[in-house]
Amino acid sequence: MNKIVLIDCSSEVTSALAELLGEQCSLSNISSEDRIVPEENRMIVLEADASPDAIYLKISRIRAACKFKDIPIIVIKRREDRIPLEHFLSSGATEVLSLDAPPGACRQILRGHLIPNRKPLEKEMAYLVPFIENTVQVLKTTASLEVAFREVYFSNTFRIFGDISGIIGLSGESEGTVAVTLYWRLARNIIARMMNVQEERINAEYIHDGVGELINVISGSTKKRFKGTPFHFELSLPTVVVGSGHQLGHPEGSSIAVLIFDVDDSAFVLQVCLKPKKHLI
Amino acid sequence: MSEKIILLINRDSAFLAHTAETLRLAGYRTHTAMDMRGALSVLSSERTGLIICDKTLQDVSGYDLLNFIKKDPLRDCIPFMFLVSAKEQGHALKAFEMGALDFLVYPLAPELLVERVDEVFETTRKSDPPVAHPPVAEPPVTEPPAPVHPHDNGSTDEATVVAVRRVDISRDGVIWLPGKVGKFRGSTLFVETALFGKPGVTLMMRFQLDDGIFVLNGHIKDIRYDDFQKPAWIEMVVREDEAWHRIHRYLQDNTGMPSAEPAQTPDDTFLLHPGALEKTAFRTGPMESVEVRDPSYDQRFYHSLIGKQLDNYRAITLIGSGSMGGVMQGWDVALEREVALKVISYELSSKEKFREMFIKEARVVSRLNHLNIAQIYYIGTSNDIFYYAMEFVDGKTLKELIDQESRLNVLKGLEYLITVCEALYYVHQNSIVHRDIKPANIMINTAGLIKVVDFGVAKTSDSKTKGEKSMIIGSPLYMSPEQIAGLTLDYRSDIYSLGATFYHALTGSPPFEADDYKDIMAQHIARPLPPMKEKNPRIPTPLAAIIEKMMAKDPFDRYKDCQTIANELKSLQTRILKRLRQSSEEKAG
Repeated sequence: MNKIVLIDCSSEVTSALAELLGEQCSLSNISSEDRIVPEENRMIVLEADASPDAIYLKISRIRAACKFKDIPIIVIKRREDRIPLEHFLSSGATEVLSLDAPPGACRQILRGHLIPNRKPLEKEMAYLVPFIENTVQVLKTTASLEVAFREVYFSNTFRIFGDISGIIGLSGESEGTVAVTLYWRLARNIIARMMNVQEERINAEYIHDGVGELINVISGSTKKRFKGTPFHFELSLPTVVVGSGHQLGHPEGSSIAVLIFDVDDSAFVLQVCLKPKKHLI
Repeated sequence: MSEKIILLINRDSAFLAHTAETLRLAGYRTHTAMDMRGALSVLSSERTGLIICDKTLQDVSGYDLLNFIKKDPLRDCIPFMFLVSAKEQGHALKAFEMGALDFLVYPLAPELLVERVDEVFETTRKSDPPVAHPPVAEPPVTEPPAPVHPHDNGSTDEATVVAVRRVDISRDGVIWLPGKVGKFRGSTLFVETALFGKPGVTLMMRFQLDDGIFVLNGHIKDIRYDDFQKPAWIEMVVREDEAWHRIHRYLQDNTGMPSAEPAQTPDDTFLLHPGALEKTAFRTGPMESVEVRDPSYDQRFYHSLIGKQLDNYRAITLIGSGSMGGVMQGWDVALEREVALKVISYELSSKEKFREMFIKEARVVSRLNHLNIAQIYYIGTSNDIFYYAMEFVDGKTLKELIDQESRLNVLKGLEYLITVCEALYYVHQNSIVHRDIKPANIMINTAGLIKVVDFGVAKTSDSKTKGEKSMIIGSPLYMSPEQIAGLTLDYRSDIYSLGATFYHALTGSPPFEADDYKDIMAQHIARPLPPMKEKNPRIPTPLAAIIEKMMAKDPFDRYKDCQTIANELKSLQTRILKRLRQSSEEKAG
């Protein structure tokens, strides 16, 4: 039974969802004032009301509380609502559906999101394990931080939710992209430790250079592990992006592994998209 | 950077003297140093606007100095130019990674040196020291800021507001991030982007216009971020090259806004009501549905399945989609092999009639076992999602080949056509009609083997229920006249579509073209076929005659089966090869 929590949803939305999802789901409607534990639910549904800004804020908060866990956040818009999807998606929503959308389409989309994430294939773990080990090692040596790998899932979106990302392109025997995404507080903490600077002194320049350096070091150290294998790659220049919901241009036809790491009560992710040119993956 | 003071660092005193003089004449004050200690001494006492440093100094390497400067919060914003010899340009990359703004290759012409230095001062004039805002939440920037420096370059021109245009922005041409152009002035563009750059950083900006993709090169002149967590507005100065002239025209005209959704192309597969053609423009809604379907729902549905597992099949990535469904690269966890997963569109899969028909036909097609046919392995439903797993073909479609090469070489085309004819003969022998033969459904795998794919709309020729209206299924560019008319189809319809496919492959253009699908279909029914040799004179007359016969309007005027076509083609192939052999022997002799 899939647990779905509806936050501040009207009776119209509640009954529409109950009809769409049938008996395989248990729906509970709560207020945004109530305490929400995102990981206890398979899906979170919000209704877009008259105040879009309040909804954007709610979505951002819930997304941050998910600590990068892949919990679908669905926004249901009212029939006459013409607010563009992009704002909801940028705030952290997984999907935006409208009450006047074809029910068949909504049903399939919701069911698609309810299917549990697949486990990585053995051949995928062959290139993910070096990234996991090196990320843990790099944070330990450069920032004296104990990092624990939590889980991996494969993303069905090109979006990254978080405050800041360092991205680096890979080319050579394999091509792809690696990106590290952090929330602001952890980014400042890591960069301060890496650069041996007090957190209060961290400014835009430090953040740009620090996050760029972090992804550079993680990718650079992992690159060595792939020498002589079909996964070997060269690195491009790191790019740093800010803001939640930015999109990454991964190579077409490649899968995007999202590796989640825990650091104390916080978390960050490494997105790895690596595709050998020789056909292996 | 208010002071035009340059610090030159090099081991060679003659180089220092010569370069300092060149810069002095250009109006710059210079200080020189031969080692890191001397350089730091200058930096502690002079307000330096630019450092130009060699790769190797007397005491340390230039990288050490660069590293030191970039870690010094008081001096890390001083632009740093690296000097490298022509044969060591590769070292510049490392310097860039460490924060150098630019590099100079020596020997360097004096005028070029001055020009590059001018550029640096011009670029960074307004940003010294860079203002680092504390990361506190501020209202998001929703409008391009007013011209940040309206008097730059002595110009008093106001920036011109343009309708927001989406672009891609990249530092390295590998990773492209979205951005929006909001204004421009001269060769300066104001762009909103999440890319977190620094003044002086070089950028590429990619525009997709109707007549092609144009990439502008430039650098960040200024950057504004009121809130780190929101996209910044950057002022990008672009190089005034051919691409810029085109983009500038576009911005001035302010036309050609991109459409929100790509339109369906005539080589997509359509499902239509019989009789709908006369009444309305073509709709993509199948069967009794008359509402226009929003294709984005299908796309969103397919995307929701990536990273999930349907029964024994893991969905890895979306390969493509059409009006019938989406195709994903998948992995069979039980048999440990790659598969292609076709997920049927929500609209079709919700029609009970379609599902019944589909399952029945798929069962028959799954029995096909031929080297040149992509096999169906499994058909099923998981979480009420309707899909089938088929052989995964790693390679290119004939459509991609045509797009790449414009048209196929005659001998290659002949070989492909023979193979497809033999595969289709086998299909027809099993009483199956493919119904959607087109370049996108013929694949060539990495070993060069042809595979006919996507039997998703295939039909057994004896399966039609009496009195049941048949759906019009197919791709307008390659549909047979009887298919367009909604008549009962047999293998001769596939022969027509195969002829149209290879007409396209060998001439580089489809048999009939028009802006409206309705016109294309009308031409299939009534207009005589334009002779192939008019489009490609190199096509041998007998080959053109075979394809033209395959495309006869009346099914009875076409070949009686695909094997007969294959035999005629083989005989032609032998004659052509023999003639080529003789010709090469004569040349050699």
